[in-house]
Amino acid sequence: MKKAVEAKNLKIDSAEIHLVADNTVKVEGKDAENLISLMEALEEHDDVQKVHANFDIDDKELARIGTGN
Amino acid sequence: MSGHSKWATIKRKKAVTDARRGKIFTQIIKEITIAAKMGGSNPDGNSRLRLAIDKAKASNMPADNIKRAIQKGTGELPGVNYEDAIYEAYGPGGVAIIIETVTDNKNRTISDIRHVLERNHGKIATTGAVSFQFHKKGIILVPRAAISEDELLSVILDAGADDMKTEGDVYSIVSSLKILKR
Repeated sequence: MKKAVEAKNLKIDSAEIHLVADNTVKVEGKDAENLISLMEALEEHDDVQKVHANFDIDDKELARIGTGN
Repeated sequence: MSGHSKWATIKRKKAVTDARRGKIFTQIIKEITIAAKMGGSNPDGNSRLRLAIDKAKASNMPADNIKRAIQKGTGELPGVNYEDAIYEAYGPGGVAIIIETVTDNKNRTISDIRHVLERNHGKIATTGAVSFQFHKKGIILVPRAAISEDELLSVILDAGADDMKTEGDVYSIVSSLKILKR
């Protein structure tokens, strides 16, 4: 897959193994804010390599929470 | 069709602006060390090491640091004895979470993880409680600016991808592990 994408001269941002859930859970409001804080706090711990979760948050909701900007 | 990993794309955006390079380097070095310990120093026969080295290079890690991390794993250089440990948890809204750690002290790590969860509306779950819902997949992120969705879709479906989603300014391509590196 990586080579097929590279063959089109496309830049790859990342190619990694993730645990992907069969079904996602929609989260919004206060839960979404708390969830992002939790994910960030876990990722920040020195022993943590990767965190996976089965949530889905709307892009609009993400913009409201202000993550990644 | 499988689901996707929203966190993978959120994290990418964060990484772009993440000033905490030190943390990213530490993470990659640990991953290289443990990958070399488990599967040997040759990346051709050790896909975990291969992926970790690719990530190190993408982060502009000097070749010397990569080499030293490998030698620590194989025991050529003295190093810390790292172990993998995976924890399962519930977050706000009943979200299922899997936390992958590499540690030299599992007791410290689990106690720290519990603490982080408790402070952030989460709780630890028993082993197996949430992991059955997850499957290992290869995720490739490609910036949207360079290609149209239709064109990329036809390339990756030909190559055997499971799924593709548009997430903000990137395409997120989901494939099986077997074909990720092809």
